[in-house]
Amino acid sequence: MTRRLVLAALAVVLLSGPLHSQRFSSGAVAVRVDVLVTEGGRPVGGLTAQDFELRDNGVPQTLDVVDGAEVPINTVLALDTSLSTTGKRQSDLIRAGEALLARLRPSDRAALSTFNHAAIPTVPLTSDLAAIRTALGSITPSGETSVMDGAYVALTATLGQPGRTLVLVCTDGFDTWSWLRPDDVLEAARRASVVIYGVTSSDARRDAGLKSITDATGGHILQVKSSAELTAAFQRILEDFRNRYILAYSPSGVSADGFHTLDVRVRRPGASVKARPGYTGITQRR
Amino acid sequence: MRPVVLGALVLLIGIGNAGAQEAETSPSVQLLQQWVKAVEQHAPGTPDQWVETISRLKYADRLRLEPAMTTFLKLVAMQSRQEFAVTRGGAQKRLSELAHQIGQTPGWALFLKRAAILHADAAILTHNVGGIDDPTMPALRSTVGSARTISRVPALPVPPLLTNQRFVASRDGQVVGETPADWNWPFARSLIDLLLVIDRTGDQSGEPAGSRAVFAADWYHATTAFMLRNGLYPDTIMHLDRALTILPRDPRLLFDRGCYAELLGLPMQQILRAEVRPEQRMDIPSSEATNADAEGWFLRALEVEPSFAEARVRLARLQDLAGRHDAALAEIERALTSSPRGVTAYYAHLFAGRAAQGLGRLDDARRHYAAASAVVPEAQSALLAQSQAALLAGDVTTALAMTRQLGERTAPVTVDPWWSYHFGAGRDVNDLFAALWAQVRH
Repeated sequence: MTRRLVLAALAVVLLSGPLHSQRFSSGAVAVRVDVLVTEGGRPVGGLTAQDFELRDNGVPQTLDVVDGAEVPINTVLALDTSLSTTGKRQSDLIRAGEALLARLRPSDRAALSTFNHAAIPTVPLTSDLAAIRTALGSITPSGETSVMDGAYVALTATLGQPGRTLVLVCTDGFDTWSWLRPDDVLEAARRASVVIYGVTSSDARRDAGLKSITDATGGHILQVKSSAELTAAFQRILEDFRNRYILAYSPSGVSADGFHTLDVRVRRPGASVKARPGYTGITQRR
Repeated sequence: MRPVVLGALVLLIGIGNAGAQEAETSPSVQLLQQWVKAVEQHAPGTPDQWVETISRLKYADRLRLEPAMTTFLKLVAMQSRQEFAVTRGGAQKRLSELAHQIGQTPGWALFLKRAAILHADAAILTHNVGGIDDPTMPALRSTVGSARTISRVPALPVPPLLTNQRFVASRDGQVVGETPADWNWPFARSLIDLLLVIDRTGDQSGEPAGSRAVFAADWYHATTAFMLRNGLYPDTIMHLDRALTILPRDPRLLFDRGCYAELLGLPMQQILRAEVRPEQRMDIPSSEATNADAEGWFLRALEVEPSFAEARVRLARLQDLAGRHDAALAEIERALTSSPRGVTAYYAHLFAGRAAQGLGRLDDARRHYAAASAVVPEAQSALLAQSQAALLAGDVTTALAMTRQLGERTAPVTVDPWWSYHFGAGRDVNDLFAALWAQVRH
């Protein structure tokens, strides 16, 4: 299958619903998995389906592969606006957000959600990036920190929307006020087609929640030493995300329900793979 | 004459020391007289000149006041037992006459109640204005440690009036420095102690003895509420340790102690355990240990008062957290039979939803979350809980509808009862103090 044909086929998958696991019984079955392949810390390009091996609950699957750089993306910025982000941290955060928006393409969309103790879907998914910039500029830090609640609101921002979704959670502190626990967000993340990245200036070792949800979605945490590094961190995450491959397949030989363990490998010596470790198959009620 | 002789002996033993001699100095007695006037004149609950005077007392002032205060309070205790003191010198005589006069009007019990309230009001005022600079305070080695560490200290090493401890302060999961302990709290506690030991036969007020215990419990409950509301956790545990020593079966204080243990298990405190800088690490127990401790306190509160709905609901949250979902649901169902209202009803449904979810009963969970939202429609926690449960059930439409409501409001911390969960009784602090002040107003 040529790349163009794969893209055309995948577009159907991506537009057909919000969840990476559509109804297994409908015939329009598809699971997609965002995969980052690196070698020496740098993304590896030019791979084809023959370079990948994916097992769903241990059963090898037939794959279609698309270079993620070709597919429009949804970027959800989930920004910590608690009191501790006042001053230089705030201006650095706004600058980083604007720098990321500047690198989006016309076909991309973005959303902004903010969290202190309250998690607010500030600007819904839109191609009107000026609206995001305006909202960024009006952030007023206050209050405490609810990272998990904020991450959950961010990941739901693109439910029902077509496209690949990157959720970027940026915090300078620790989760102190959330109602939702990491396991709750994890369960939701396994049902949504998002990759969550975290950026934190605090000691990530002290707060396992954010790490658990980034790992579960195939993302990871970038720890910065100061807010001055936020712009570079945001840009690197966007670049990573664009350099991912999308593996798509119709599951065969596995049941539809429950949690599916994914094992993704690349047939290239020295290369490493970052992908979600599994997903939960669900059937939408409505 | 036997009681008089005994009384004289007690007095000589009690005040026949260096402090007693200092009590004869005029500045100490003058300060004591000013303090008595402040107690008598202060209008409870108002930031008047008297409470301001107290809140501005520096360490050096308290050092001067302490000898006369110690003597005066001992005289009150003795006179309340109808023991008479042999006084030495004019200053001691003045103090004895002052104690006697107060015993007549307004009576020692009422005086001590008003004094305890004055110092509570001073502590609140000091807290609200951010404290005062006190260059006279001796530099001490910092007490770096958590409330748990402090609770292990068996007794204060100095008289309550001269307290000069320092506590570690944290905010939003991070250590932000140190803060001096407010001397008003330990001193006020010593006044409550005295209130409970004075013998009513010597008190001319004729007040029923039980009312002092009621006041003491009310005072401790209200002041603990203030501490919890303002995150004064080292003060809280010292306060409750004393409260439960003198009032071990008061259900509200047992509940407060449970809330304190419970809040140490919340993420906002647990994150402080993981501080990697040794000099700022706080000795906070593991969530498992402190949650088990909290369960014990709530159970004790329920033994005394089985109808205490919020204690039962909080107990259920801890049971659910420990994986005992069935037990949690049973406790909440029992609590709901009393038709709790407001915040207690909200917590009951929110925690019942989580327990049901733990049992895989998503429909029950969603019903409870919806019930919580019906109690407090703006609360984020119930909206998120509904959204997440809907998503797990494959109901994306509802999942989205719930989160979309989040953007339609501003959110002070009072909006969501979950955000004020760690306040415990602190969410009712204004009402509790209003009731307390009403007890001693002229």
